[in-house]
This record gives sequence, structure tokens and C-alpha cells, in this order.
Amino acid sequence: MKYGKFVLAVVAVLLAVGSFGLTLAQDGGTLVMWSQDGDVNDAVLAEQFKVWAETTGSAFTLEIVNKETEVLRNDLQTAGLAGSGLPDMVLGPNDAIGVFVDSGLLLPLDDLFDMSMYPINLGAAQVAGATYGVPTNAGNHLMLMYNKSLVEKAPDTWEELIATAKSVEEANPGVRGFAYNLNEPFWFLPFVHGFGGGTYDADGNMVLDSQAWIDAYQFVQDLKFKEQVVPSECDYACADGLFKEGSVAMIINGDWAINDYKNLETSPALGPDNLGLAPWPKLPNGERPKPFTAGKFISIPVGVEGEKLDAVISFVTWLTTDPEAVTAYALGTSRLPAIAEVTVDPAADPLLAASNEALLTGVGMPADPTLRCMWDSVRPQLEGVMSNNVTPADAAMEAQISAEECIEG
Amino acid sequence: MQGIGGLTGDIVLNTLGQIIPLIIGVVVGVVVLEFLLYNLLAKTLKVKNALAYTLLAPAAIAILAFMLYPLFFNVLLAFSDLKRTTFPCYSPIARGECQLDHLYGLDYAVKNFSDVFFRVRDGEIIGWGRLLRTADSTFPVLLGRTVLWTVINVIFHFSGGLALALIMNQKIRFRGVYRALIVIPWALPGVITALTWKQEFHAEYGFVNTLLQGIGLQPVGWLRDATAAFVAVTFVNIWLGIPFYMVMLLGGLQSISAEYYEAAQMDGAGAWHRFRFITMPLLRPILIPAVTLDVIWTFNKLDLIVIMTGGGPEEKTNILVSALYNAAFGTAATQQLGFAAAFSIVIFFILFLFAIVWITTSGGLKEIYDR
Repeated sequence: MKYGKFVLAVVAVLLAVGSFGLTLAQDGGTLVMWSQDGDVNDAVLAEQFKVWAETTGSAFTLEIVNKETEVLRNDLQTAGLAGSGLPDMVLGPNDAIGVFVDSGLLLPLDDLFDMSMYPINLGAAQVAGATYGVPTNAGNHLMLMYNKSLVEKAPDTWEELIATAKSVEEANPGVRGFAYNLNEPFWFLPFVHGFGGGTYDADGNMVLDSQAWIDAYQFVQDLKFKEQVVPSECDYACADGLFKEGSVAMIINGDWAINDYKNLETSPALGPDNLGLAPWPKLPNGERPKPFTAGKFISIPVGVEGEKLDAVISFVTWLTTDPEAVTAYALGTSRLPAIAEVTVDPAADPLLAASNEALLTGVGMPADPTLRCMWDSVRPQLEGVMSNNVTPADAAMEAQISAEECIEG
Repeated sequence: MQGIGGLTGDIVLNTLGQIIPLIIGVVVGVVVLEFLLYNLLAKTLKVKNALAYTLLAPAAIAILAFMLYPLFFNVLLAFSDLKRTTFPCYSPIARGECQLDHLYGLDYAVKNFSDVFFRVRDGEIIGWGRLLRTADSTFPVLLGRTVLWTVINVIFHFSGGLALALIMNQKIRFRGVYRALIVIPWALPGVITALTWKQEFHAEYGFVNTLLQGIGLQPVGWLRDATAAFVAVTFVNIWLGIPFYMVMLLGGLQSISAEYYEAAQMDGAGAWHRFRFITMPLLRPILIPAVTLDVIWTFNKLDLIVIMTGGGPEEKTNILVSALYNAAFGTAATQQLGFAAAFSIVIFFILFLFAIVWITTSGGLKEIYDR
């Protein structure tokens, strides 16, 4: 044991350093938020948190962990199953709220917030009469976005859009007239709504095989194969990337992307001067496709309590109801406020006003957990229609069968 | 602080601030435990080979924690009814009433395993079960596609790897450079490879169609058409797998003594006979484990398919493991984790059965057992 004391001393020092380090790592003054909102908007939120902390003198800091939709859903359930590792706040769209509520992972918020403050879109976060999310904005809606240097005026009908797209392509070799996320059901549902259909009937049964669905499948198939107005293949990254670099004149995208497109660093072909927003063009039946609308919501997972819960309630209340904070966050993220007291001044932000106009054409998105069955059942059928392997009628029939089996479990 | 793609200096410092103390804590913890364990074994219990056990302990604990425990947990899940609506029963922190009268049982296992194969209504089998959301996503269809995928890949991996190994075994100039270039696909992270090839197979902007059009052929909707998408992912996986065989077989070729070839040449054996009766038999001890590993890796190749096609279009590029992933966590997630666990055990047993039959019939481990 010649070196025994020395070894013990080294171990003791290392242990002390390690314990100190672990203490630092487990700082009790940090609120953790899992966000699906994207880095640009998260940065705005982080700035708002600093303002709140300075205003209230809170010692808490905010750590935002950005997660993609599916990853966030899976991670929250995994942490719930493990019984630890849940964040203090979850920021995301409303469609996962139903799943989380079924899983018992969210706190009901009706007793923690004054819900009368949010009359616009609170229903999108309600399950069985209880509210599980506070809206940070209203929207999350898809709209027509165009590059003003290529398209002077937004087309008002699909006929006009097709003509505009073709004239852009003729005048600008190498530039596409129009592109969108072809195989993603979230981009397809507005067409169904425009043709008079929906996901549920009046009795709450899922109906995916009505004539409206068939008409919608036929319409998007024709856009691709008959009118040839969209690329033969295009997902979100394709439409988004081409638009940012000026290689496509018009796309369909959501309000979450506006801030990115206003930024000349990330979108060199756009910026605030070249970005144009408009409601969806009218279908041949005279109706506009109606995008799902809801917004982004902050939910609080189970297990948040004591000082942390107080801090979360204080911050979220301030962020979503204080007129100055709401205005700053809305302008910072280029998204619409979710409280009636704060309205968009078109002069302050014409893009936000245009987004508001598009929002008014939408339909509310339910938080029903079975909605997931619709998305998953429609996706492969839409892929079949868009590769011309499946007829619109067969796609509608198959989606209905699949959704019924999915709901049955 | 300005950063790259949102990665600011603050984020880096914050991350390091969390990781470094954790690493120090883990190292200190291991040192302390090793010290205590050695003292316990050597001084108190007077165990022979105490140092060896002490040094093996961290690896043994890691295997227990990260392999055996998850395996056990997965089997346990297969005996559960864990799904979205029963989640509160199994989560220690979830709120809500639990409607189940028991959490684990043989009845759940029977249902979970039968759901992998059959669709049952009112106690009667009414057809193959849908593992995903289309009528074609049944177990026999997915198994057939998985076998096809594995066979095509392994054949091309082996033949391509062997051809390159034979070439690289010759005395050619810049051999080291060629070897390094050929190994690149294997050395690259799989996610980067898959994302890169996904872009290259894009119908309008990808390199593959640009090349086809350059030689006067029609462009192909690689990721839009189900058959073309299967060809595309298979091609990429073949490209990825060849370097593994080349490295393994080149090592084997270089260990074969030149005297065998000289003796055969003196006896008048031609190139084909030397290859068939000397090269192949002497490569066998390397080849059998390599094929075994390749079959298992290819059968379980998840990342490439999920990233390149997500199993689509129309769920037609799914193999068993990607279907399992999609059913449990992906685009067709049914939130039925008990069922997903049973599904994964079925896949495990298919591979287990293959490994036993293959190793037994090929005599792959004979030399090891004979030692």
C-alpha cells in the first residue's frame, strides 16, 4: 500500500470535482422546454423569456430543446414510460395534444390560467372539455406564398395559378412556376375541405371516402399529370429550398416559415420586399381550399410542480396575455396573436396582415387523438395517387378501411 | 454570439458545461467503484484473478445495462397491453385511470404475437394482419421483400467485394490510394450517406437522372415509383456494403501463402482452378462469418430505408425492421408498443433461426470449436 494514500487522495479530489460538476449540470433554476417551433422562432422566444425574467426578477433560466414533431411525440412518451426526464413545457402544434392527453402526460390547465383570455383557438387544445394547451399564436395555417420579383399579383383561382406558373417558366428558364409538398396529407386536406369534405361526419365518425375526398384526389392528380404544373417529385425540403433560392415562383407553406423567408441570410431570393402572401386560390367550384388552423400551444407535462410550476404559469401568462409581450412575440415570429385584445396593424407588418387574411379562410383543427389515424391512412394512398398507381376512388376506399382498422386498434 | 446554422458559441459552451461534468462524474465513479471492487475481491474475499474480474466489471455492467436489460424489457413489453389508451397503467407518472385488471400476462402475449400475423375478429381469423396502413403491409409480403432485399444485397456485396479484393491483391500502382477510396462508403456516417443519395436520386434535380438524360435515356421517378424506389435503396446499400467484404477478403487473400499457387501452377492448374481449389477454400474461414454478419446487418438495415424513402411510396420499400419502426414510432405509428415488442421478437427469432441453420450447415465455427 505504498501508493494507497496517494490513490485515495486522487480519488477524493476527482470525486469532489465530479460532484461539483454534477451539481452544476443539475442546476435547479433551469426551465426546460421541448419545442417543435424551429430555431428562428425559438430564438425569439428565448429573448422574450429574458425580458420576462428581468421584469419579474426571476432567477430561472430557459433551455429550449428543439425537436421535430415525431421525435417530440416519441420522446415525451418514452420519458413518460421511464417516469423521468419530462420537460417543464412543451411547445408545438395541437395535433399531438390528444395523444398526450390519452397517455396521461399533460396537466389540465383550466385551473392554472384564465382561459377566457384566449377566445380564438382554444378549442384546438381541448379534449373532453378540459384544456391542455395555452395558445402562443393563432394560425399554423398553410397559404400561398409567392416571390414578387417573379409574380406581380397573387393568382385568385387555380386556373390563374396554372397560367401564371407556365408564363413564369417560359420567361425564366430554370425557374419553376409552382411547387408544394405533394405527398403530405397536411397539404392535401385543404383541397378536401374546399370540395366540401371533412375528416369526421356530424356524428363524429371518420369519413375518408366521400365524394369530396375523391374530387380532391382527382384534382391534385390532375395538377401533376394533366396540367403538369408541379414538379414530378417534391417534398417540404424541395419546395422550401427552391423558394428560398428563387428557383420556384409560388409555393404553399405555413405561417411558421414566414420569419425564415423574411430573412435575407437564409432566403437570399426573398426577404421582406420579395415575399408575398395570399389565401389559397379558388377551386373550380368557386370555393377556396381551407387549410387546417390552430396555432402553437404551450402544454405543461405532469410532474411540474412547486416553484417551477409557478414560474411556468407566470411566464406563459405574461407571454400570451401581456399586450406588449404578445405584440413583440407576434412581430418577432411573424405569427398572429391568439388573444382578441391584440390585433395586427397592417401598417406595422403587412405580411402578418396578409397571413391573417389567409387564416380567415381556414377550418379549425380538432385535437381528437383519432386524427392520427386519418393522417397515417391517407399518406400512402396520396402517394399512390401522386404516382398514378392508384385511382382517386380506390385511394378513398382504402384510406377509409385503413382508418377504421386503426381506430379499432 | 454568431454561429453556424443556429449553433452559437453560447450553445456550445452550455453543452460542454453539461457534458464535461457528467464525464468527470462518470470517470470518478468508475475509478471509485473499481478501487472498492478490487479491494473487496482481493483483500476481503481473497478471490483469485481479482484484477481480471475488476477490469472486466465495467464492460460486464455496461452489457447488462445497455443490452440485457433492454432485451428483457422488450420481452416484458410483449407480455403487456401497452398502447396509447393504457399508457397511464404502465407509466409511474402519467395521470388517468387504469382500466386493466392486470399489467402483464400470457393473454396479452398471445394477442400481440397473433396480431403480427393475423387479423382476428370475434375470435376468428379473417386474414393476414395489417402491420402498417395499406392492405399489402402484411407479414408474408414484408418477409418476402426482406428476403429478396437481403439476398440481392448479399450476392452483390460478396461478388463486388471479392472482385475488388482480387484486384487490390495484385501489385498495381497507387494500390493504397485505391483501397482508401474504396473504403470511404463504409467510413462515412450512414445518415450522411442516405441523405446524400436521397438528393442524388431526386427525379428532377438529382445526379442519377441528369446522368441518364445525358446519355439519352428517360428520367426515372426514383423515389416516387415503388419499384424504382426499391431499386434505388438496394443500389445504395450495395454500394455501402462492398467495402466491408473487400477489406475482409483482402485480409484473407493476403494470408494465403504464395507457395500454394506456385505448386498448383507447376502442376498445370489454370487461373480458374487456382481460384476454385485454393483461393475459395482458404477464404472460407473468413467468408462464413462475413456472410453471417452481412445477412444480419442487411436484414436489419433500418437507417437507410427510413431516411431515403421512409418505407414509401405506398409503404412498398419497407422491410420487416422498417415496418416495425414505422409501426412503433414512425409515420404509421399505432402507439401499440406491446404489439411492436412482439413484432421485434418475431424478427429476432427469424434471424436467430437463420444464424443457427447457416452456421451449422456451413461449419463456420468449426475451426473455433476444434481448437
